[in-house]
Amino acid sequence: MSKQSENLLAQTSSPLGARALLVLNNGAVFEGFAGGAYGEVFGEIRFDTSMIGYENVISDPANAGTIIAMTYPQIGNYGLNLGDIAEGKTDIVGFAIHSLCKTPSNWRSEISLSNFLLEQGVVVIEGIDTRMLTQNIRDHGNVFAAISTEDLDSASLIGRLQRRFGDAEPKVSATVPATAAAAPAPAAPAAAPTFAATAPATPVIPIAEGVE
Amino acid sequence: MPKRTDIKSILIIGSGPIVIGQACEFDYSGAQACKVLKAEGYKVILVNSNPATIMTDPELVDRTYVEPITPEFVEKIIAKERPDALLATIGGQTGLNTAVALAKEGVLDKYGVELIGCDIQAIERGEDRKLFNECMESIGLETARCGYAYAVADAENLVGELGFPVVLRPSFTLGGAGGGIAHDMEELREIVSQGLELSPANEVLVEESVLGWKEIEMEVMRDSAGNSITICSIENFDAMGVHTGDSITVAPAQTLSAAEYARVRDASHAIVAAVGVAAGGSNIQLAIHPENGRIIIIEMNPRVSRSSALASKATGFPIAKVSAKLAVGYTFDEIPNDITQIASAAFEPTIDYCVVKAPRFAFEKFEGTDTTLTTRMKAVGEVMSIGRTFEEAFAKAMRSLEDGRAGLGADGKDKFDEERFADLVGLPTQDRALYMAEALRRGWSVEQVSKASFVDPWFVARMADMIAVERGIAELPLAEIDADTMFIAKRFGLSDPQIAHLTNSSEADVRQHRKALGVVPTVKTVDTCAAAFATDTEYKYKCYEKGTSETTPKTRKRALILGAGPNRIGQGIEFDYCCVHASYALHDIGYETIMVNCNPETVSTDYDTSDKLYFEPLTFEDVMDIIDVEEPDGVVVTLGGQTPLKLARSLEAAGVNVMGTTPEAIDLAEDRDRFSAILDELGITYPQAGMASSFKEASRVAETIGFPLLVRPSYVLGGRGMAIVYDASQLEKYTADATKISPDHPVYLDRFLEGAIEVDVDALCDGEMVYVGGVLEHIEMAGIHSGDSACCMPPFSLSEAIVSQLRLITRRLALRLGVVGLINIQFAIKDTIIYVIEANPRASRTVPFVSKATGVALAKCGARIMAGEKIADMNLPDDEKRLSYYCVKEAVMPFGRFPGTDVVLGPEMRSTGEVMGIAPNFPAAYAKTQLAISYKLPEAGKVFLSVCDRDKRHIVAIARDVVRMGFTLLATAGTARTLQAAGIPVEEVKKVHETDSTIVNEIMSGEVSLMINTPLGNLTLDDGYYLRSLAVRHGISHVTTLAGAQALIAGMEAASGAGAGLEIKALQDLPGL
Repeated sequence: MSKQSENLLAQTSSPLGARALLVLNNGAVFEGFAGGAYGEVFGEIRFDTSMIGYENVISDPANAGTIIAMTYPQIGNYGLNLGDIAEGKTDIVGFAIHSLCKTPSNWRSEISLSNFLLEQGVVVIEGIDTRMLTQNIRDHGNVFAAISTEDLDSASLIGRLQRRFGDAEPKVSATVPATAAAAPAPAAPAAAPTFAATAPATPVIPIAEGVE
Repeated sequence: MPKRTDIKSILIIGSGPIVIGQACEFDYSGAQACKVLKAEGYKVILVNSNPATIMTDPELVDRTYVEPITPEFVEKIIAKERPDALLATIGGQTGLNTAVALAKEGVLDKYGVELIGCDIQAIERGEDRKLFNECMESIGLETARCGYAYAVADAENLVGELGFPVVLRPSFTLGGAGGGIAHDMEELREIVSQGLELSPANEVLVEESVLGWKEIEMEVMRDSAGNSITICSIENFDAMGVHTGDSITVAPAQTLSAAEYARVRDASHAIVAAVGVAAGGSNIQLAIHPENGRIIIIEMNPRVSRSSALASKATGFPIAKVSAKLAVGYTFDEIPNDITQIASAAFEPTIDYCVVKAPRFAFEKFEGTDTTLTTRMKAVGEVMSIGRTFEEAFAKAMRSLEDGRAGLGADGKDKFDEERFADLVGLPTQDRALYMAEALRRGWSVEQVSKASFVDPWFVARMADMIAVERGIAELPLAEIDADTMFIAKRFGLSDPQIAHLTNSSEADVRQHRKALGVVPTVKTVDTCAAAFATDTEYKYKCYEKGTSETTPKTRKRALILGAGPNRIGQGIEFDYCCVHASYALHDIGYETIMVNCNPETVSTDYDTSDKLYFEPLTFEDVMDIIDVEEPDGVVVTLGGQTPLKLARSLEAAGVNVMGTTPEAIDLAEDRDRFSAILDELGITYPQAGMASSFKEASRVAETIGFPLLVRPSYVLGGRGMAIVYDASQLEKYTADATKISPDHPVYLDRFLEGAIEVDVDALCDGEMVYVGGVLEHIEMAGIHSGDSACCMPPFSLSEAIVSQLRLITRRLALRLGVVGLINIQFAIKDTIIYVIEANPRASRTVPFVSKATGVALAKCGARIMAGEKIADMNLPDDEKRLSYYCVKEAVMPFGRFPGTDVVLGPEMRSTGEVMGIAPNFPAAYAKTQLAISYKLPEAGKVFLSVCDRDKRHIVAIARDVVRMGFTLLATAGTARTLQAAGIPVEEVKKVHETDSTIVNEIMSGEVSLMINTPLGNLTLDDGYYLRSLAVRHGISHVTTLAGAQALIAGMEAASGAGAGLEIKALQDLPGL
């Protein structure tokens, strides 16, 4: 995005995060912006069609280790009450959405979804066409994906994704350790006041090595 | 369970005329139900008094009755047709109330008619507040603390316990009519006494106030096996306290967490089960406390509703169609999902976009009425918009309203009441969203705006982002805006005209720059499943997205049909009817039809009416964006009323092929100088006219033409700002206030033909031949807007010679103007001279009525002509043959909704809808229209007469008739003198302010059953105004024109009471031409 447009968005409640890339093992590329932790994650990607209930989706143990795409475009509107999240944590590794709300509104909300995902080290990409993404996942069946704020060369990222998971028959997602994202992540600038002091430093690679 | 085979024929009750609170959404749902039941093999019988509906098209069902929807008439239909079942849940409150009345009177039992979809007990539990509250208590749900008042004193006692403010809801009224919020004793007394009168049960609910709570609506369906599904959740932008029909609403709900939503959802499903909805759709309204989550159930409607129409359009799930199938015994698993083809109807829709509905008001037409939004619905129409985000959808909705605005302000038209600014940010009015936006511009915080307005901070924060982007754009010159910035501006909803205003450039420049940057919208699909399944549905919307468009390659000729936008006074369902017909006709002759409209209440926005549907605003920008994508071979602009017509010129200039009558020909008819020149050339008479840009000029024109004058602003629809002035002082007053007269906004002055008979002619022209569809004689004289005047076809008082002259003029004028399609010409006849008042080379409001009366589908023919067909090849019946029966169309006025406004008919249109009556003679047809509007025809009592000098001579005959029919007369001094002179017994009444005046009491006590009051011009006679308002409030028949009085009295005689003397006739039984 141009400097001019970044300046424009800086005036809104959703300034642009760093550039991020989402690639699928079938070769599809989605350019977007970081909305959570910086880093790079790999995993099976699934879409979820709930219009309300992202807290259930991210805390569903069945989704552990996966990248979740939400089909509803505006996510995070009502924030998060940690009591609604099993064990107060999420085991998803990546979150692919259209837009992440930084100014939630609900009487029970304790933390914004964006800050929660940041704390949990989930790599979020926003600003992508999630409908097109959904159609791709739907048409291809089991799809694996990578989200990266580090490697913005799509060919390189797809290559590494395919080496890990193959380009046609993905391996089972159970090989992805559920604890991969446990390490606290560095903050994206201006995204979260609580982490604002920490500049993004070391990339987080939450996927355990040696899957192949 | 498969469909029932023990029932063979089903009676469907429609909702009657368009009124506030009950608009064309019931034509949409009714037409769906009719189609699906017919397709299932049932014999379908329909009753609906509204001729402008698609559902009353005679080919849609087996037996169509355009008759009053009253228990008396529906019983006649039942006796004649002997249906096995009655489906009453798709005709709105009117349908439901009629069914309840028929059941209670034992009519259904007598004829063995089974009520399907919902039983009487369930309807009563849903509609009767007391039973409903008991029912909610039994399943552990809370309703607001409340009590019932059967007298004002009851309400006063209840307030002692509940405290002010209290919400007042009369039982069993339409769209919350008569309800309100009382903040003090005075308001309480006023609203309760009105409400008691309006409630058929004489009962008003007095309820604790939940003002400021979140308002959520749930659309739920249930089948006969007891399965229930959620179709859609809707969150109101406006908090509790504003009627949901007057609120901006958003789907899906935005600020409920999963846990809260689960409670709301469980409650909704428990409610439909407990109320006992047998099979069909229901709407549930809930209030949620924004700080503790306490849920209160507000109400439920055990039928399809305005909200279910909205939910259908918002999700793509056809609630009415599925409701009809459920009513005949199917269960969800047996009904396929039309759109996905894969899943069954049991699959709950999910959406991947945001939907915003915004109400359209018409307060400018009802001077003197309170414009604050309350629990009593006042909106006359609505728009819906779809975007990927709330911001995008909200901005679209704000520019869809056809109120001259290009979005959420920032379009150069912002004008704020500075003295009351802070109040108006909080006070719910039609402009509140604009005030909220302006407050954010002026530095109010999100919290401040939210606190003042009770609008959830989430919505306000989105608005704040929109304003931030707007501000950023305003700092840039257009040429410097880059692609990314333009993309963001569009994504946050800024329209091209707004960007033009902000960057001090023109819309054309913005469009050019934007397209050069490659910033064009993406087309996405409404598919009920958020793309979880592949579908081939052609229900589309535009958005600004990084991804690709979902479009299909062109395989045949494409026609784009521009719809009519939101319902408002002057532009209603009639135009939607024409657009739908054009779509059917063009599809039938091989076109791929593409509909563009933003009105969720209509049949045109049903996803299967046209081959493709774009749910989009009807602005140049939005229409051109669609044209760029779809590349249609032609665009139809002449069927959707003024909205698409005003785009004709600019579309043509952009190289678009406008089908039918050319923009040049349209201009020829609309430009008064050019039109007058043509009339002169053809030797056709027209009233002397002039134009003035100042009072001085106006006075000079008046001197040449003479008074009385009809004055109006230069570009108007529905007679906006029009008035009749009788002398120089009135002229001065007119030019001084109402219309800002200036060189840019001149005023037209026409000689007013007092006492002339008005006639409308609708015709087709293909450039070679003219076919006169109908000649309609108005009942009210010239000076009453044609949309507010009753009319009759064939003409009841015109000679054959006059009628053939009218036809001749129509033929010559249509050919000369170069009309290719439909034309409507308005005539006035005075002293046997025919004057042409105006010609509109487009579909008129009367096209559906004429089509119903003659059986010739004028709009379809018009569309085929636009596609190049010739009238000679259409096999139309002879247009000169006279109908052997009379059809009367009567306007339905919304005065009951706008207390304080004067009810005298005039040149400014104020009606919301129309009804049709068909009978062997004019009085009987007229009587049917009065009964159809649910005016009770006076049967006995006193008639109050007070007429102006002009009418004194003619009142004598009317008075004689009234006396002969057994009424006694009351009259004001002048009128009484005239009657006494004629030897008619009359009691003179004193003026209202005189000490021993009794007239007010006689009206209030119901002794007076009819009021005939004809004021002259727009002189507001204080007494007359007061008494007329009183009559409206107390539901007393009142007439403000002599012609109307004559027709009414003839009708009263023909009807003999509630319609015992009137026969019914199905459209299918009318003798052919």
